[in-house]
Amino acid sequence: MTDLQNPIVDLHDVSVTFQSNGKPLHAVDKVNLQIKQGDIYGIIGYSGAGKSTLVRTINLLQKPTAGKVTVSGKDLLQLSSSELRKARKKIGMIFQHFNLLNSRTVLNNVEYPLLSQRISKVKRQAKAKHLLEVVGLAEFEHSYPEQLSGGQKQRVAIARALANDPDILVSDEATSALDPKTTDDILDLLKHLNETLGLTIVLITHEMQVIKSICHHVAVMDDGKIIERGEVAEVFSNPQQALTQNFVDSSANVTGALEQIKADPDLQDLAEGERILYLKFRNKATKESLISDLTELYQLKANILFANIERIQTTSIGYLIIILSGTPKRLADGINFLNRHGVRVQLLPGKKGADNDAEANIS
Amino acid sequence: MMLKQIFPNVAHIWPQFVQGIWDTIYMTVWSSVIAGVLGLVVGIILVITQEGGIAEDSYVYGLTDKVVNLLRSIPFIILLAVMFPITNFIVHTTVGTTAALVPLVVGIFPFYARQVQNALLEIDPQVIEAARSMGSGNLEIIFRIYLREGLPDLIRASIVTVISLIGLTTMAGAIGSGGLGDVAISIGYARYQNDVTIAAMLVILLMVFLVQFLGDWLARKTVHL
Repeated sequence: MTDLQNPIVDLHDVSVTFQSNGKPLHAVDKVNLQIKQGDIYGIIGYSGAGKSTLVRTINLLQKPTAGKVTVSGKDLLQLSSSELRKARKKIGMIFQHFNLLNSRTVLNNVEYPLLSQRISKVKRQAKAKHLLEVVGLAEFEHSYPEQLSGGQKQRVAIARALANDPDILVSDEATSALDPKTTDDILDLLKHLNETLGLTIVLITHEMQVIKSICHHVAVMDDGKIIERGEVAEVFSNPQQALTQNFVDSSANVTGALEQIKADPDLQDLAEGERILYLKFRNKATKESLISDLTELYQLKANILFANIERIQTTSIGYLIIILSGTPKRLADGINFLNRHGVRVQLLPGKKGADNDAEANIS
Repeated sequence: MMLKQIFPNVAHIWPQFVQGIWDTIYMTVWSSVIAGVLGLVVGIILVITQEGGIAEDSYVYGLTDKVVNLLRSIPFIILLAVMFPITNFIVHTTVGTTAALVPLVVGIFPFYARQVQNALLEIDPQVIEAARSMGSGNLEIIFRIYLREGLPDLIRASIVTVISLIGLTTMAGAIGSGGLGDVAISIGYARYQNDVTIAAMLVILLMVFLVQFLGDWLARKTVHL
């Protein structure tokens, strides 16, 4: 990732170490992260992975214990506290629980970041009203946050984060407290802001859906480290790490299907010559008639238990769980055939016949 | 006249009784104002210097915390006596309502500081974090977030404090401060004129109800649901 020219966010060997019960806890462990201007960069990981701590180093809400944080060309750790406050105004931030000021109206909330600016009240309110229009809440300016729904609150928070015309928007699980429909609306809004304002967005989430729908790049985080990163389609069509695979599977509902299959007693008791296979197709393979080829060319019977196709930007990924039955020789040939066509085949254990013969090319 | 029948002795000392009411109001109002400012400042210091606060400082916090605890531990009636020389130094007298202000303030401000601290700690730390992310400095956070977001709780804390304070002013009567407590003790109690004591109590109760009512109304006005 060193090929990036002038990244807008450049974290260099950033570590954050907490002391917990006298023992050092590496929340963020020597992370290098470069994000280019105009990108939507997603960081995914389970809770406790350190992603929240990591993004907080971007505006120094969390001071790193080691490393260098450069944002828009400024080395933030070298700034005086007033310079840092100025720099923070150019890094908007939104939160899972919105963090609005309940004592102020919606309009006053959006005005808040401008209060410390030397601009007239008229200009300030005009700007806040404009931002409320951008997020689609113009008619709510005199409401109080407690009177709004979660999605509306997040829109107010987004308008507030935009008040100082930031270059970057950091989103800390901004959709995690919202229902799926509202999540989509908020993600659409973020995407719109990215496209119309050229706003660079750094978001963290534990939901694949969020990454898939708006991110260009993704980093997978585990135990304080980035374990995998790259373009979203690339990373998720060809995950290298078990955790990444895990996120992909659960997002395609494969995890649930696998659990059901494992729990089904009928499927535990397979007949001789039956195998449960988990197949993963990518791109071209999703458009070919490989299963009917199996039947025709190798006289194998295929019983489909689960099927799904996911689209991540321009890439399609197919998931298929089937029971394949036939003679051992034909099964081995059939699996070889699938492998040749770029299908990843994984044998799922049934009670009988799970580990007797050698299906050589199962990856 | 009704007053003469039910409260004969009160009618007899009527001008003194009215003066007692004014003295109580004088002491309550001024000590509220002074202890209010002092308690607010100390309460804010406690909140911002505590661990994880916006101006974390374990030394300042530890010292302030201990002083507040110490002052709160002294029984008020003893504080009244102990404060004598200091009162004399500050207001050049040891009797009367103005002299009573010194121990009243010292007696109540640590209590109010704790109340302020608790009220401000109710504010979601994530809201403070959001303000920091927007580039707010500590003063902005104190005035635009803590004091603003915490206002309903601060008003409730203030009601409790003023009501306690009314109670303390009557105790100050024991050292000749004036006010309704003084009237109740030095006339009602000392001369066995029970009606004077009861009348003083009723007026005090009325004051407490008024403060409670006004405070509740204000607190309701500041909550936006």
